[in-house]
Amino acid sequence: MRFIISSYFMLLSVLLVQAQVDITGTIKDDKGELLFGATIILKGTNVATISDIDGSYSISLPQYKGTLVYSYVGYKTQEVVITDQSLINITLAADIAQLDEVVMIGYGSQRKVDITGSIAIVDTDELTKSSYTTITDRLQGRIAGVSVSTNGEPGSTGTIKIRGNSFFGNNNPLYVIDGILTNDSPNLNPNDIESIQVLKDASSTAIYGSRAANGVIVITTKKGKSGKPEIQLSFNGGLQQVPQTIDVTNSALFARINNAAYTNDPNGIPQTRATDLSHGVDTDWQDAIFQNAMLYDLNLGISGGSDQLTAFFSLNSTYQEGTIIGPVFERLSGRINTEYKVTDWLSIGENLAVSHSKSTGQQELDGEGVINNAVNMLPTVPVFDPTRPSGYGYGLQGEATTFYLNPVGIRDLYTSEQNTTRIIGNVFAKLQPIKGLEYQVSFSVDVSNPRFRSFTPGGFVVDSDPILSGLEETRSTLSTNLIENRLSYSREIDKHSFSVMATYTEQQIKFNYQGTSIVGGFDGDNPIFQISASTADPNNITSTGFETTSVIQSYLGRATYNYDNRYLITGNLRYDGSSKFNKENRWGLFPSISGGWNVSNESFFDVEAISNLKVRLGYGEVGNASVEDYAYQARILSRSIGGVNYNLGIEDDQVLGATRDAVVNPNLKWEVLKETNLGFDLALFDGRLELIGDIFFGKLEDLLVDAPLPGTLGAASSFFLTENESGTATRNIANMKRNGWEFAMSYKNFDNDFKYEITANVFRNNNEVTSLPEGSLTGLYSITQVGQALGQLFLPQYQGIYLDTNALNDMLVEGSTPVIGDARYIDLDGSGNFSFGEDNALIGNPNPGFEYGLNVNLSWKDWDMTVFFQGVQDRDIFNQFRFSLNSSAISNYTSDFNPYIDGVGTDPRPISNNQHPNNFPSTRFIEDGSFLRLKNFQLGYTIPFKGVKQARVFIGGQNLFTITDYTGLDPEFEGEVLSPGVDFGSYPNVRTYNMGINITL
Amino acid sequence: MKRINKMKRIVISCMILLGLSGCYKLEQLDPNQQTEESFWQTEDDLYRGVIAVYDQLQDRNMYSAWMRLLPTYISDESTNFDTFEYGNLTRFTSSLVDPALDIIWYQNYKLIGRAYQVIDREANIGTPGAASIAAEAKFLVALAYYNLIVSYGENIAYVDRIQTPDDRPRRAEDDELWSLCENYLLEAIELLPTSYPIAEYGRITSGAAKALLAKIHMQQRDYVAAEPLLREIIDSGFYQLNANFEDNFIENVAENPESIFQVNFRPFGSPEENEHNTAFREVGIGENLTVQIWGGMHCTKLVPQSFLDEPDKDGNRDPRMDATVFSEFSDLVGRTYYGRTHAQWIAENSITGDAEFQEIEFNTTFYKYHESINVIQAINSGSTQDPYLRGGIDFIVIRYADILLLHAEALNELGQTSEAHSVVNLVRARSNMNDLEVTAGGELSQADFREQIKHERLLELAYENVRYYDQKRWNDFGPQVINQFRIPATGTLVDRDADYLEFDIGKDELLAIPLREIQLNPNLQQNPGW
Repeated sequence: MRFIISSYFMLLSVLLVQAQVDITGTIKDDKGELLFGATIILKGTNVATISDIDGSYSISLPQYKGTLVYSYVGYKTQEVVITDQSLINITLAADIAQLDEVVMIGYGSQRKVDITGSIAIVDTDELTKSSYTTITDRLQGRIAGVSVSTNGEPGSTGTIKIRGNSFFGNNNPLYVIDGILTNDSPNLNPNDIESIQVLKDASSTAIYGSRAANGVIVITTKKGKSGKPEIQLSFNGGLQQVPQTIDVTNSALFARINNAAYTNDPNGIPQTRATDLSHGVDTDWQDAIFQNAMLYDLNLGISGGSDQLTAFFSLNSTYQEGTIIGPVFERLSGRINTEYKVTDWLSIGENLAVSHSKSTGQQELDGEGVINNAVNMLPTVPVFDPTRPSGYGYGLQGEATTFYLNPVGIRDLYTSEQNTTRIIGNVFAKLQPIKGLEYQVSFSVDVSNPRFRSFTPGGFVVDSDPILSGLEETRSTLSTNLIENRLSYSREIDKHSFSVMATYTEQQIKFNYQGTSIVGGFDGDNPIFQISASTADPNNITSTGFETTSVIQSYLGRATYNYDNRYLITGNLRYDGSSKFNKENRWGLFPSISGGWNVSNESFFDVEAISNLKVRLGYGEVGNASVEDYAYQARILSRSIGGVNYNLGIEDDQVLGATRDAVVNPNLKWEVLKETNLGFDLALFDGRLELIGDIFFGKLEDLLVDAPLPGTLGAASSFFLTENESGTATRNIANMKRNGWEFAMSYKNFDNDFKYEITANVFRNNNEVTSLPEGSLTGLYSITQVGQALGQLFLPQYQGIYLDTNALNDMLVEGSTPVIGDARYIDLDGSGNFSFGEDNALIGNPNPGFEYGLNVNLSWKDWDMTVFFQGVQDRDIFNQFRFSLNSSAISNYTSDFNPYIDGVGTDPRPISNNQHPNNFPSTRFIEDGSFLRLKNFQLGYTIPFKGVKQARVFIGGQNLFTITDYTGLDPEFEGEVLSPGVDFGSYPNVRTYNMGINITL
Repeated sequence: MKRINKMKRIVISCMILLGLSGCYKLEQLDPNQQTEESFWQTEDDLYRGVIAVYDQLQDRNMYSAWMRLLPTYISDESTNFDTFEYGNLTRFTSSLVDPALDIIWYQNYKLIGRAYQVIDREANIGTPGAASIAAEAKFLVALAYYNLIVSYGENIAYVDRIQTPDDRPRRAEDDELWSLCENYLLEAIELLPTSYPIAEYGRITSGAAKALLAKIHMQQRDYVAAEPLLREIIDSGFYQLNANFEDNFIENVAENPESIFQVNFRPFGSPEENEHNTAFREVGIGENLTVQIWGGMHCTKLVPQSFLDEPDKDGNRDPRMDATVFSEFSDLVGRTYYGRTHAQWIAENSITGDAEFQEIEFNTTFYKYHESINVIQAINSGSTQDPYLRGGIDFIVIRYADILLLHAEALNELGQTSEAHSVVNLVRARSNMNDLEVTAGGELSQADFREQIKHERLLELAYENVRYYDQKRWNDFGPQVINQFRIPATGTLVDRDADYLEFDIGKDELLAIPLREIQLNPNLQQNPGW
């Protein structure tokens, strides 16, 4: 703290004595258009103003001395040295490459031209042309190196991965919203966002130290602009639908296969079953749950201010229905960002957003997804069946045997609602005691209070296993407090310019939770779903509550040096201390250094076509820690509910027990990424064509793995037949390496009435496990082992079916001789017996060959159009739906399933025993997951209204078509870290048709 | 200008305040739980510790279900027609990756792990009460090793202290673990009380320690060491047979004089699956749609045939039969299983009416420990079926009748066959059975008595998790089990267990040590043949 305090005293000694001179003028662009909102600033001071709607400006200066800097977004900045002019008219030249654009790089900003790391700048205008309700979803496909997985569940935020999966635990990037750090996908109004920068390489992210190894997304919200107020109104409404369903058999086809499956099972009970199982029923379950759904988004923004006070205000209302029956998401949010220039050396301000969101009708009930049940449910079961208790149809043993739940029944019987209020904001003050020195202090909070409530009257949606009546209510509060003190100083001396920044910051994250769960007690005669009205057995009422606190203290600094705009060096250093680790491992140092060479600024460089060429090289070390709070502390488990208690006495009284809670590894420490990045920025033809390329090589060390423990440790799970039932402990034992390349380009031509801009990106990420001392890790159908990428598919190789009697004796299949129509697999170990596990092969790579995005913007006079494609190439997917459908007698079948029955068929003969090799997961269910998707389309027309700055109407859509060979619901899904290629059937992305209007007053 | 100066001072002073305040602490202790450093200070802490050891006995993987069901599956009492889960274990066709092989290992070492948290901290507290509490924990270590040795053999991991994540315990030598158990139990006999206040009924007594020590001697066929201990327990007069055999298997409302050590369960508990304080009960319809209990368990023919061999004094069926199994005879005495008669079960579940499924081995299952209060209440209230109906019937780990029969066995082995007859007759008499000499027409020879005791123990103790241990003690655990068994007293031949067809000599005598355990601990060696 000492340096901060001394800086205050320095401040006190400075006093500015001021006289006043006024300078006026107008600002135009090179086509003669008057520029409204251009910034005029006296270099090195806070003295600034903004041009009026007619391009005119007036600025008061202390004396005729110094340099005025004229800047405007999209134009090259100009500087004018003041001698004695009182009128300065300026013509700004368009800056197509926007090299002077200011980029937020974390605890400060840099000109785009000075950047030495790998930092992507997102075109936020383009993002507003999408109807996704969350900002993360809108980033999909826009940035080289950034993969976004979205799903269609209303209100859900997509998952972002920067440079791929690198850790076994947390792979989420760090989000920095107006200086507030969070690991959660931000659920904020996309219309409020001024800029998004993505820090990708370790040399850029090191300024965020221990939390930056998954990359950093820096989001800045809109600020008010002085001048005449600007009011923006927009409405966007549309219709959504599921673009694809899984084609399954109808009742007649189902009965043929299903009867054969039971007949073929030698151990099975031959069941007396009608050829027509359906009794006239033929239900399309997917049709029963999918629906056309509405969404709209209404937004109001007001921006304005004087020279001293600026404000930005917004209100937003979002409503989205689910494309499956049930879920609805609503959000109401507001924001006010203000800044007040008290004097020329002091300004104060705040950013504040409040929101309330409500999600109803969640998709899951005890892990039983509505979609999963709808796909698998038998067509011979009616949706409604008055002969059943509760009135919902379900399978019956021996007739239509299935344990899938009636999805309509789940939906009707189960009610849930989550209400969340969130306040995120900060107050700040900036002081400029002497020229070039700035001190900024800010205090931020981010508080959200979700309240979740669900209840059900209970009822039957499956044979013999009813949903029990019940109620669940939980409340929690997550709050983050952040204090930041930042000092920065910059100076130019001749051709040398340098800057230093030093910051001390502290963040505290507190979470508390309380919940009550009641099973039973809300049956038919008790319609009051409140805890107060519960009639349940007291033993069936459980309640839990806890709180956690974690703290991070950080010292960080940056120095930059720029010689003649030719040689650039940036160094970052961050020293983080975290409460998550013990004293010995608590502090971590995360350094980085990067350099850039602006080749095009060299005197020897003389290529007409190239307006800018820069090469960049950087190295950094950053951290990650996917550990729970207090994970290093050896804790005692002792409590009455869910405790280790026993019953003594003939009345079986409960006696409190105590034992160690889980096995603790006191030596937990940071996971570390050490990465080198090499890149170039190239601008050609006056910036019309821009190319950015990066390659990177990283090492990941001390990765946290949930490593299995020997059973003799006594940490076995209470659940039987589970993975790792002998218990696990988190240990820093694995190492990986990663590398990849990213390439982005854009071409702009705004010269004529017909304007166009094409941007594209393509990238690839590789990872490889280099050390895993406790042996390979398994995920579903997947394996992670040394020398391989994370989560390769690991399955038997399917070779079609046996059709030739002579081939039957070639080998055994799981110890038995196969019969005609059985599945044939490769006996990999040559033992003469195919055996699951022993003969599994590394046979599918879920890591994409490359991913890409392509955006085309066209405009002609008042018309404009955007087309955005996104795709993934060369990715293997295990289609879990197809597997569960075609390997079991208790679910439906895909309609292209052609099993060997009565001498015909190309797929393995059906058999009801689900352990039979014909029903094994194998390469039979691996598909090519490549896809190309029309992610966004919009056609707009600007109505030339008088007195209105802009009035634009548009129509468009999202996910209008997808080109893919994949037969699941959606080739785009978020897999588990250890089984990234297994499509569990998440909520598919929706197709949206929308229209709307934007008005700017 | 002065005003600006003053304002600057105020503003800057305020900012210093803001900049300095906050200062959140890096040292954060979990506010929700105590830590090991702050706990383990008092005798009461140690008592809580030993309660947690007892708690592990209630786990579903322990005496709530699997610790008694898995050995029963493997034994000749029971079979399982399921093609998955436990079927391979039952039929000796498990491969190394069969997770059913692991449960007994993991869960008993968990019991040991919790026990050493108590044993290793006793010295810090140092009171006589603490020593007694630690003795309870030592009894439970011995019980766990007894379970482990019978299943996995003597050369397993030698754990005698608290383990840390880096510990890889060594392989135990022959006899090493048995001596550890014996020493612990001798200590426990000295330190433990003979009884507790009624509110603490269920804690381990010195009598229980004697009984377990006797059972451990018996398991090693050390009849010389076992016999006096068994006699001491009997002569103490502390335990007696219930007048009614079935009183051992119902919800207890008073102390059970026949129970030497039991795991207490509650009739009602939390619906959370990991809340193990109720005994696991579930009626199930297996793949083969026959009457069975959870996991597809049926009786082998051995069980009903053995019961039907000899009528009681009044010429009726052995009264223990209807208390032990649910069969076609149950309807004759008005027994129901989850409120349904045997005939109803057959009608509802055997859809084909296939003759094969009318055979007794397919429609007979175990009934002991079955109908508990909450099941009956659920049926009476007409409530919807609860798939996880649980019961509060305490599971008796060591029963006085077991001790009597072990004593008879030890006496016979030591050549005191006549006295052995009189001890067996005590158990038979309680169930209205004739004296053995009456049935057999005279005293049996030592060799015949040795066989007869197998039959007697089956009738008395079927489905009580003793048969597997008995078979191993008798060296009657191998392919010979597929042969018929001759009951010496009557000369009747009864069928046994066809599952033993697949028994591999030199391999299946012991279960495989869990594969992952071998991989993680280089000090261990896999059992022969695996």
